[in-house]
Amino acid sequence: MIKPHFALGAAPADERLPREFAPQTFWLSGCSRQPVGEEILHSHSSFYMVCGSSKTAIIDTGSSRDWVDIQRQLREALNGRTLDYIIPSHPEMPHMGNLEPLLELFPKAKVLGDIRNYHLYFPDMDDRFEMRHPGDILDLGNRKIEFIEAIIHDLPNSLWVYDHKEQVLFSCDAYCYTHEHEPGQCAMLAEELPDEPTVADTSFVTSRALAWTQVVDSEPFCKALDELLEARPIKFIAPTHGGVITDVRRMTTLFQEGMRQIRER
Amino acid sequence: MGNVIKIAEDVSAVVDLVEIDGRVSWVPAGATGYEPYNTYLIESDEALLVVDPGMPAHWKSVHAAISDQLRGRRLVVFNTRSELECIANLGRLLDSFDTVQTVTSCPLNPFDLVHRREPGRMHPPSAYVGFRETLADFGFPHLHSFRPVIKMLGTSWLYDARGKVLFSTDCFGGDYLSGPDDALVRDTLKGAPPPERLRAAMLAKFDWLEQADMPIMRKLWDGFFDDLDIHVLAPTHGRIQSGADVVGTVLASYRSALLEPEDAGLVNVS
Repeated sequence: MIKPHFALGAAPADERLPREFAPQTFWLSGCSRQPVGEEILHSHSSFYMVCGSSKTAIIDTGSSRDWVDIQRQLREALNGRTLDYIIPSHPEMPHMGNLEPLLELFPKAKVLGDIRNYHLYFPDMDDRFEMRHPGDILDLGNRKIEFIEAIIHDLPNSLWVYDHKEQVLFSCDAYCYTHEHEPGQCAMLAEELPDEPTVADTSFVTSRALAWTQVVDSEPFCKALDELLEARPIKFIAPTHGGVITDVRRMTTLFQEGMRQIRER
Repeated sequence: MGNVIKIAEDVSAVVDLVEIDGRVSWVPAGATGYEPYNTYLIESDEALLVVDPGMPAHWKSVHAAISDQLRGRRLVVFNTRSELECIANLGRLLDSFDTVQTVTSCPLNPFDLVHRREPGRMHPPSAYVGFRETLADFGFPHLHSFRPVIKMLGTSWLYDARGKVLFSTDCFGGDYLSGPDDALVRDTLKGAPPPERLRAAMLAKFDWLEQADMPIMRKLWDGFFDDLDIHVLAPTHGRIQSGADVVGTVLASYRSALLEPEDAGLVNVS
């Protein structure tokens, strides 16, 4: 008997998104519904908009599944402005699945990042891709964002982004957590949820999303995260597979412990 | 337009070549020549199964081959992972053919990953097949889905027990063509890439392998390959390997280069 795919499609849109969690810094997202045991869990596909005085950028694009509501969220966050830059953290569908319609919707927008392979995926749009490396700075007017090494990643051609002004780390596949939540809770910061994410939450998602963590010692990665937090002031962490994190130190400890527990299991 | 070549009974590959120019992340630095991109078509009496419809640069060939081979049968698409060189053509395919059955062992529902320009065509819901299960429900009882030994994303390997073909998706694609007229299928070890090339090609994609727990990896590797009789190694990109002896030797080379690199003299031991 044919088994339908267990992923149950888009969760109802949460009208509290986009959420401006720091000045001119927006969280946009859609959730999927997936059964886990007897329950239906939501899982975020978050992405983010950073608006400067002269330019605007998004980091990741959200999931194709959520495209209809994403257009609404983009309009609200842009508030009449246009989108200048699209920064996919890496070329995997949950992170850049809306790139093609975004390039059509914003015909002057440029795609920045590690853009290897994109000429194969979008052969007619090659002139809109610009390579960026760790350490490169993007000037948005009154704020600058920096491309940095993705300490924890799946595809090697991944980059993280750091916003110097509001001190946000856009961490794509790192700091992911899933959390049972009802419609209406999808737009809550990690620290606003009735029950905060646990080590088990981060361990579960990380072991599935980053399968290599099952066979690689996590300590060098935990150490690199500590060094990053020491080197840069970070007020917010903005992951793709979760909501915005404000208690950065606590969640880092939780995430590190989650990684360690994967191998112990 | 690409080539369509038979690689086993009822199995063909649609192959397009891309010149290596340093712009592809999974091709290691310094590599030269041409990289084949492969979409596979598997036939049964009732259905035609597509293993990964590929990427836009490959679409004309894939569309032509499917149109030619479908001949009124049911069209089934198996998706091995959610990277664009595998799945970017899925929306085009769903817009071009009716009643396409999508099936995967990946955690992401294929319908969540595509944009449809002509959503008028109707298709059944995506189906899920677990690891170690077959595709019998779709007319292919000899096709088995497996959890890969080496993977990055949610990925599955597919094994054709009749033709003894392993569809290895992003693994084992480190054999490139020197020129556009080279053979698309390797059936001799003459001119086979050296172990350091195989290692570099795999590490370009699976960078974590350098830090992996090797005893665990060797156990996983041997547990999988010791049980499977493979005569054709069919990656998404890279040259197809054919013949039990060739495949056995190539896999042994990969194992040595990746999982026993010190013994193979590929890393310095201080």
